[in-house]
Amino acid sequence: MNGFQDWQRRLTAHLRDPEAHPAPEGAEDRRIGIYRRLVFGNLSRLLGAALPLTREQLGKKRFGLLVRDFLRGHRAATPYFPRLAGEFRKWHEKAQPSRPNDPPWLGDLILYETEKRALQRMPEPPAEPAIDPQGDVVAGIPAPSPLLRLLTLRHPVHKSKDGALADAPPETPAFLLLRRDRAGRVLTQELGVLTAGLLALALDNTRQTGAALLKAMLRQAPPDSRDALSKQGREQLRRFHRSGVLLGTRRSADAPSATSAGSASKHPASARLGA
Amino acid sequence: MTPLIDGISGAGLGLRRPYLKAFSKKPPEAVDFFELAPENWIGVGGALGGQLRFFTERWPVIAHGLSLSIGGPHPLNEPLVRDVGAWMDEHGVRLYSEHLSYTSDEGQLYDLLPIPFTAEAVRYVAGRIRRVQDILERQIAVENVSYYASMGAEMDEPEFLRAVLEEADCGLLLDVNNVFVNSVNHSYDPRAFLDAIPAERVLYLHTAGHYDEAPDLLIDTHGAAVKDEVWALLEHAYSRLGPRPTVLERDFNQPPLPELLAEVARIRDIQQALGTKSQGIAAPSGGKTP
Repeated sequence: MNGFQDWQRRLTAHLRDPEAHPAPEGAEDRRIGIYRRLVFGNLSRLLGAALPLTREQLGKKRFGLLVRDFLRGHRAATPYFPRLAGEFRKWHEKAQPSRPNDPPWLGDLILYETEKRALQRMPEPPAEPAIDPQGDVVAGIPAPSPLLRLLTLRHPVHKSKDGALADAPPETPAFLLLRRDRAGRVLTQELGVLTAGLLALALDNTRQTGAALLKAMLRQAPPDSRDALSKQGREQLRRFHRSGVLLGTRRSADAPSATSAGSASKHPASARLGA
Repeated sequence: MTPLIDGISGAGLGLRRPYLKAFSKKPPEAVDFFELAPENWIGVGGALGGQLRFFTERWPVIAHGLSLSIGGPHPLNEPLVRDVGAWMDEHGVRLYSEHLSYTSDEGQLYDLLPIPFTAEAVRYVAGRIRRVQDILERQIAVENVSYYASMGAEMDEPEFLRAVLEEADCGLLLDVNNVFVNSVNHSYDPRAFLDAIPAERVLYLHTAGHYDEAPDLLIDTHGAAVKDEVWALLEHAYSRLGPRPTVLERDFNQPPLPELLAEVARIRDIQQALGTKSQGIAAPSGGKTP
């Protein structure tokens, strides 16, 4: 290794973990200390700006310890600042089993904040010619908007503005729909369990009609309630269509054109269910 | 005679998030061009991405990179260079500048760390700059950074700068605040430094505020107004270089907008007091030819 690069690597090892790695020799500690402050301070500021609720709920000190663990334990790949929080989330998801002292709601809160932010900044998807905006979302194959996310949260972290989060989760999870409207605002809406289930099926689906999705979902419902639930479900699908959650219907499930191949794949939000 | 950078002259400002809304309501007359970090904008859509377009459609723009780690020990991030190139084409960006520093080992640290001034480092860094210029098919500029520590220097900073610029055949983004900060931190004469750099390679300049940590230790924070000594140094630089395009950088402790724009206007005032604007300065020698 080149001599100057050896020095550079010893410097970054020290800046990542000053306790485990001594500073490279030859420089005044007061001056190396400026780099310790700059690197940690800058990373804390970047992550704090992207995850303001997380920082507030954890408090400055615990948030700082989390940032230090990230700096020490992870080698961040993205050069792009808007994507740093997403990389931080993936690191935390992976590291979670070995972090028993994190508050139980932390993973949910980081997920909620990063998904909301990513949705805000997501580039406009190209217009989808294979979707009929006037289509009947019950009789046809419903096509969800790509500008939404459906999250299942064990902890009600979307209410964290109201005060400190409790460590014990409520009995039932919260189903949260995040949706970007035409003005670019991200709206947060809590869904009931059946509505969330129906939307999850629609997000995961490229072949079945709205009616078929409903039928499959209601197989587990008590027989005497199916008619009423089915009627509610059909109304819900139409409400989703009116509000833009569903863009319309897919024109053809079996022969996606080369340009619309992406639309026949599963919705990116479907992977988030059950997180 | 062509300007150094196509369409760029006068006084510029580093575009930061807190100004976006105010500037799009009332376009600032004092600003001739903007400088912005591609790593804050690449892949960004939605309302924020739309706001960017407002600026790139109305002002000439320079891309000032933060994450390339041109002096870093890890292989050059060529996908980033290609993304920056595509983004520059999309938005009609005039020039790409980066810091003569490193920001990563096996991963990003998102801060500007020093490259030791050695002959080995000159060859290594210059080779990487040339590679970037080959990919982008255009000349880039590198910036002299503030540094607080280094190891076994084999040459002084102006020698290092000159050697890298020559060997890479690239432009210089001359940051006069960094010259001042370094002159205090490493005890040299900032005017002698300015007189020693290759004038023909200076494509544009930066000015900014810093923080006085101790009498012999200044920190380049971009968090305060430009100090009088730095304004004086900028005038000294102009006296040798002519009034070349200059960007005010302000990242923290944002002042009320009129105060910020008054600093931008002061750049223009100093330039105009020295004569005509920076139009008409010969392009640096050794520009890229196909």
